Amino acid sequence: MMERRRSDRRAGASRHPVIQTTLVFLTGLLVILCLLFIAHPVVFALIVSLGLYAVLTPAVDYFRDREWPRAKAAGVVMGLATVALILIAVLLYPLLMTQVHQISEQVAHLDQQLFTVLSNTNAWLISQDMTSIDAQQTTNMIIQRASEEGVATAQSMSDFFTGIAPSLLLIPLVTFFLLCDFLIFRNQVMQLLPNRHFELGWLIYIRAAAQLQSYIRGISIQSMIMASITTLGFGLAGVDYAPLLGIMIGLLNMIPFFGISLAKIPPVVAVLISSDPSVMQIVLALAVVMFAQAVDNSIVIPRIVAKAASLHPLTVMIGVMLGGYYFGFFGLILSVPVMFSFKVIYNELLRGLAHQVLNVRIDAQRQQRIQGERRG
Amino acid sequence: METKSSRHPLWHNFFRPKDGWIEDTAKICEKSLLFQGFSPSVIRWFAAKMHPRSYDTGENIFHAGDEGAGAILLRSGSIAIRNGGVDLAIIKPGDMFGEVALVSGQTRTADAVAIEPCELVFLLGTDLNEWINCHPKHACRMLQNLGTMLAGRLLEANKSISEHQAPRASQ
Repeated sequence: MMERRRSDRRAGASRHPVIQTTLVFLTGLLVILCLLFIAHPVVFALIVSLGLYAVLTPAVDYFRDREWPRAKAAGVVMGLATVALILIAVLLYPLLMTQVHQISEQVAHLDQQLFTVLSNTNAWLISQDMTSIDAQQTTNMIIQRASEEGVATAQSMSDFFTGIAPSLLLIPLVTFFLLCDFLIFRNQVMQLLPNRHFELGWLIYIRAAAQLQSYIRGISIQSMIMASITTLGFGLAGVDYAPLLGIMIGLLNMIPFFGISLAKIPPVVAVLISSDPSVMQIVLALAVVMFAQAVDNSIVIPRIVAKAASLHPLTVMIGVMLGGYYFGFFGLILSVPVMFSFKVIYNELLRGLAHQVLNVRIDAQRQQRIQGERRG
Repeated sequence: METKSSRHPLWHNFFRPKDGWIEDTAKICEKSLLFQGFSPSVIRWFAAKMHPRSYDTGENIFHAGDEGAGAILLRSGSIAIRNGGVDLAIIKPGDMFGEVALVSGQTRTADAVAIEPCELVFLLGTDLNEWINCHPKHACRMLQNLGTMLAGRLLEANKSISEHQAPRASQ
């Protein structure tokens, strides 16, 4: 009887499965937070390297299937990826620099152009017998707010890039070693699981990894679709810097909920700093963004992203706000995958541990029955 | 000479390949029905993907109704397959069991308990699926072998049921 009680306690049968699962989950979370705290200076490099590992693994597997050694396959893929990045940078850099130079020149005249747009709007409002606006005062107010926000954003971006600069050197090295040895490292970590949780641990890992992979693939496809639609739309609507704006909107769309609102700012600014800004062009630019978002909401999200995320909108909204508040831009993007990974891990853990507790009880009842039969 | 600290799991090199058990497992796999008709290089690939574990006497490998992550190959020791406390079969070194879990969504059909200290390796369903996706031409043979193994288990179960029902019918 004492032995049975001891074995029950070992298996955690004395606790309710929900309490046991919550304890195990919180302990795991605490360990992860401690590791993140210790590894804080290299967390950025690790996250980017893991992302690159996920993207480059199919290419390494292609060479591995042709019986190349893993180090050689990883080296070739890293080499090809580096050459591709350099080529893209060489081809895109002059174009982007020209556009950035043009934008910076036009931003200097932003107040005049904004004043022209507001004056025209004011004249149209008066002609329609509607209330008028003070164009000069409104322009000054908008410019002052924009310059304050711009200085703060430029400062935070400068701090961010200064902080991650040393990590940029680490990323290729870490990615190479992950491509070579990630599976061995993962298997060795899984070997640390106790025997009774070994299969459960693997099942949780497999499901969480599959869902995460599906989400990352979905969100990447979604960004590319948004970037393509808006680039084409801005091109047709005659908005300047169409490719640059398309890429920006594609990236902003990766932020759940708030990305939709933020994505409307760059095209409006692009129209305002153009040589001939008009209300009609602003409306057209916004219509392009709204059309792309309608396609996104009705076709792309339900088919690609929603299946992977499967979270309540309120949970996503609060999670994204908290992620952005505590961890900035990366918090905004990573909050959803982190939340649904936690959801999958907790649910699978609860299911597995509840079944294990049930098994321990059945074993105990069987032991009791056998002992009773022996006595009888 | 290998020191005690170098053998400790915390201090050993995680990335150093441990080929000893892989070669040993590959040799056992060559005799398994699941790998019949495959080249040694393919069998070695599978062996390298497997996960070695050790169990003490009386320790449960799995319970009936558990969701299984894959099949298990016994390298040493022996395992009892039980249902409702009754021994259905004894697994000996070189035998593979739990292959029902390789078929998606199927739970364990009986308990498996170590009746002496055992060394075994897990072949995970995801690793098998990964290989099947990469080698669709050879996948047919693998699935055929898996089907043959499962059909063999079904025949054994039918035979056992028939043997149990025969005395009742004669009464």
